[in-house]
Amino acid sequence: MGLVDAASVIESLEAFEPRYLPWLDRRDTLALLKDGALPRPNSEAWKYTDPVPFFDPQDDVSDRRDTTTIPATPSHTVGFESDTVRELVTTYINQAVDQRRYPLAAISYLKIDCGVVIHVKPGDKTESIELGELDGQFQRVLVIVEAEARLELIETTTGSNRIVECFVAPGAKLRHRRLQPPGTGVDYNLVAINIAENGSYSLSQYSTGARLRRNDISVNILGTGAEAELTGAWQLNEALHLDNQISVNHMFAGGTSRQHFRGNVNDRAKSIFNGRIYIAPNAQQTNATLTNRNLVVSSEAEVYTKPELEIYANDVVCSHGATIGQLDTDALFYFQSRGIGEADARAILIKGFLNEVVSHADGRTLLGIET
Amino acid sequence: MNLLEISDLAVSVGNQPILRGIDLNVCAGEVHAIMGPNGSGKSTLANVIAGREDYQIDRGRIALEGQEITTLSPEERAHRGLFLAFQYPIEIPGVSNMEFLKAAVDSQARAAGDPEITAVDFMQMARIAAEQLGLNPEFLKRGVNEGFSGGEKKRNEILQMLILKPKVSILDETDSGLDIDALRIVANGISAFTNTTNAVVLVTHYQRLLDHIEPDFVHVIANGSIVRSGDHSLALELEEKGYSWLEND
Ligand SMILES: Nc1ncnc2c1ncn2[C@@H]1O[C@H](COP(=O)(O)OP(=O)(O)OP(=O)(O)O)[C@@H](O)[C@H]1O
Ligand SMILES: [Mg+2]
Repeated sequence: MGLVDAASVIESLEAFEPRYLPWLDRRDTLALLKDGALPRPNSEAWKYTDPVPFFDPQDDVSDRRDTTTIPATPSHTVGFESDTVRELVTTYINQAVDQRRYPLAAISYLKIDCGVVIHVKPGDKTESIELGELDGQFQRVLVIVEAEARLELIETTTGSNRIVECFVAPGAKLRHRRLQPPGTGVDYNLVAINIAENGSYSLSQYSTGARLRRNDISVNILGTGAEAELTGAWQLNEALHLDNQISVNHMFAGGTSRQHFRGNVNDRAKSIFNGRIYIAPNAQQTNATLTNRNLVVSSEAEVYTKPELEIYANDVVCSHGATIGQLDTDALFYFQSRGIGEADARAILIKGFLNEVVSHADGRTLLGIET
Repeated sequence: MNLLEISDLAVSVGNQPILRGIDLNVCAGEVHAIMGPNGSGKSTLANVIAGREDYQIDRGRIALEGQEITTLSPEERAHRGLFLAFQYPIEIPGVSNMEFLKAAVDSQARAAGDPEITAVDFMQMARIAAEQLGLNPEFLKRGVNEGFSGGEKKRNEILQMLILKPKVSILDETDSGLDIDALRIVANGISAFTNTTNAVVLVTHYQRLLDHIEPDFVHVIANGSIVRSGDHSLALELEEKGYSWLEND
């Protein structure tokens, strides 16, 4: 793996003059990056994905633009500048993001050039919002779902650098579907979620790869009865790359989290999955599970998967499992014995394997497993 | 005519011989029963006929309607009318029974050059077969064998047979795990299916099934060879005396 040249990254960030949102206080973030938050050699978080292309200071930042394809509605606003959202922005931005852990989110904050605020008022249960292409290289989306409100967010990630911060208030429900079509570039995504008591967040992520694609997901369980359900499926072909790094942080007692991710990796593709469950000393009665299952068909494909448990409370239920395997030959024989040819049998079995974590038609289409 | 003709079939796994020269001829309209102690090679024979690859064929031939099939893939054998009901049907979560059956029916139609059956006609056919076997049609929507009870799995195998209408069906211990009523229902289903153009080979440990389906021949496999063949009375004799008297012959 290449080495991130921290000095030159810092130098270019210091020289950077923000034209968009000059009023944002960027000092702490810069200080934190200077204080060693950039990836070091042999960084665990960047073990299988070369960090250098992600931190390339040559990447020019486009002029700020607020044009996007999503139409504004009362509950969401495109752009961070208007007075109506300025207060929300200053209140919420970076509240869900651990910038030390996610230096690319820190850099993105410094260079932010595109913003969207989605703010669902208390008790509002009607909203479904599609978030497609956004015009900017360093995009920040703030999703605030107030108490007892509901939101379905359907997001298509389109490359570049996008940080989505979600705030799920007490009793609120956020269903987040995320589609990731194949890309040719280097793209970074962070979803950081804070869930308050009895709040519920669910992610259904359907991914293909990019030249390099990194998905960081960080969930903070911040109240009793808070629950997070993270599911995802990926289908990787050719030489595409997908790196999912998930951290579910139980900071409060009585929370529930479930992670279930499945991938099928072909050709020379590379799949990395790291699922972390952190349970703080006070987070008793936590129930946390993590499953990652991978199918590898090609001998040239690379798959890495690692569950990581850090449990500091004693009264918890926590389970995890990670597998990398081939298609079951007994299952193949069963299909063939019924007259189903090997290629069809494989396709149906792969579909069945992924289907366990796929519950949307557009996800199926993206993964190429529709019936 | 001989539908299935096996001559001097010897099979091994690794260097371990399992079948040591099996001869078996099955004609259209016949029901054969194969009995024998645990580990004698019954399932191996069934699997090798169906084309499972884990076995090495040392010598002999297997012919279906006069044509050698030993080099054919399992799906090609199925297209020619061979069917194996598994002793241990596998669970395949994520693939519905319906989807699996439709894929099987479509593949066979394609291989035969027949037009694909419409989804409506297929549903109808599957529902009728399910009802005939006392299976709730809701089973068709569930994952293949997923969470099915032992008896439900066996009935599901016969359901597939009824839908695919094979010429030669090898039913490997389909009676094991069936309760008394289910045994009668399944046996009636098999009996109703048999006719003068197809044949059934029943692998079984129990005479019970043969009370419902009268076999024309009963064969006993021990240690990889057919050590005795006879009519239904042989099964009754085995029920009474066990296998040891045969092995000591
Ligand atoms: N793939 C295999 N690898 C190794 N040994 C095998 C394999 N398949 C079968 N055998 C062995 O061959 C022998 C015959 O097995 P088989 O399953 O055919 O017996 P069976 O007559 O069907 O027994 P049962 O009545 O218990 O079902 C056994 O000793 C078994 O362990
Ligand atoms: Mg057996």
